[in-house]
Amino acid sequence: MKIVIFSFVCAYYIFTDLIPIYNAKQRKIFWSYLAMISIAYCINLLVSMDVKIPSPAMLIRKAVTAIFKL
Amino acid sequence: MNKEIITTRQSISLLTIFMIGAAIILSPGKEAGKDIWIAILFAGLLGLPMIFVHTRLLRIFPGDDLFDIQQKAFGKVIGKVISCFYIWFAFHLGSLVLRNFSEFIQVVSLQETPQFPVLIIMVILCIWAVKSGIEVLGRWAAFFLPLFLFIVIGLTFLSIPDMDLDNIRPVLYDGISPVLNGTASLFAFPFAEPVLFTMVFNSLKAKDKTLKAYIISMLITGGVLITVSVRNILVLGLQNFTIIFFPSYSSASIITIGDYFGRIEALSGTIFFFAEFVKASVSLYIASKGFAKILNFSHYNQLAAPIGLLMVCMATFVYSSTMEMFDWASEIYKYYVLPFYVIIPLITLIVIEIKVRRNKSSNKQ
Repeated sequence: MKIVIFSFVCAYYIFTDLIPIYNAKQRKIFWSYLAMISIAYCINLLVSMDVKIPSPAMLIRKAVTAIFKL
Repeated sequence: MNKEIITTRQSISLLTIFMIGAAIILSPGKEAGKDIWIAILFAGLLGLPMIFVHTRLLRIFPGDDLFDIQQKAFGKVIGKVISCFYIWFAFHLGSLVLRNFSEFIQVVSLQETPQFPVLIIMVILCIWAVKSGIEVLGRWAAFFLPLFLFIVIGLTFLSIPDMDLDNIRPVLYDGISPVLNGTASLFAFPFAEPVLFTMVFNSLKAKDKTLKAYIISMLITGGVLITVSVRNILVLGLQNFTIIFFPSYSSASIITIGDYFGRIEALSGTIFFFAEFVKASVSLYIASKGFAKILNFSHYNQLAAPIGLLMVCMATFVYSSTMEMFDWASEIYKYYVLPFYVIIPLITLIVIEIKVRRNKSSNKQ
């Protein structure tokens, strides 16, 4: 269900944002946009498949605990 | 990039809602216990020197934001590296704000609803706001701040019959140590957060009113936080105040007048929604603007959608539970923000001041 909702949202933004950027021949913005939305889609797909993604909160906790000796 | 202008009133409203909003619902500084009001005063005083740092940076480079200032201070390469840290911080903060909001909605009302639809709806609104520009957000904030404050003060007055003055006495019974602990938490969230507005206040119409905007926002934030925290302790008592996830919501739920006026905790939820919307939108704005500066794009609003969607993705996996979210916020957050809120701005100011003085002395020669 998550991935279905996310697919609709991505499709909406691809039609309203990405295609006009492509038509305006803004190559750099186009490839950056495409890369980011692809990464977001992949992450959402992994989360929907119950794949555990390492949380930055855990890494930051380890770093803070090590630096400040908590 | 096109020049966006916000008035002093809009900037005060934006910064005030940004600072107050999440704080009055999540109630940071619970370590101080009954003396949280003293911790809020101390944290506000601690935040003042940082405001002078931010104002000085913006005054030396009027029209530039912190991303530009860091490149001027440290050079293009190191400046962009430091800007990447701030982009990460704004992005992470946005994800945390979105997650806070979805947890709040799930805990207080929609227990059976998954958090993802709530996150998506919120982020679509934030993307829309950022694409419209900071001027639209500023006008929105200027319109809603009076309503926001009216609801907060109104709820406080309506809670008076349920207050017990013994809940706040005796003052400083546990000593100064818990107060200092609470001060550190409150400094991190929300009194040191104005640093993020160095990336917004370059749009301020009257550049000489930056300090006024910061000071007025801090005063309003401090006053409202003290009012709400004291209200929560007087109504709920210390034990309930420390264990309940959202004490402001719970204290509002107790309000009943006769048999016809009750269940107004939805107003408390509404102001939380307004505030989280502003906070998430400003975080998304800063992240988008930073990305655009790093990659030399002319418009930041074209990147708002993919960055917003990435924020939602991170919000889904950043914490595994509500308990972990609160634990991280109370134990780790106050140390995590130190480099972004204190160390880097101070070092930036010192480097800039040295460069300015060197330029002045070489011009004299």
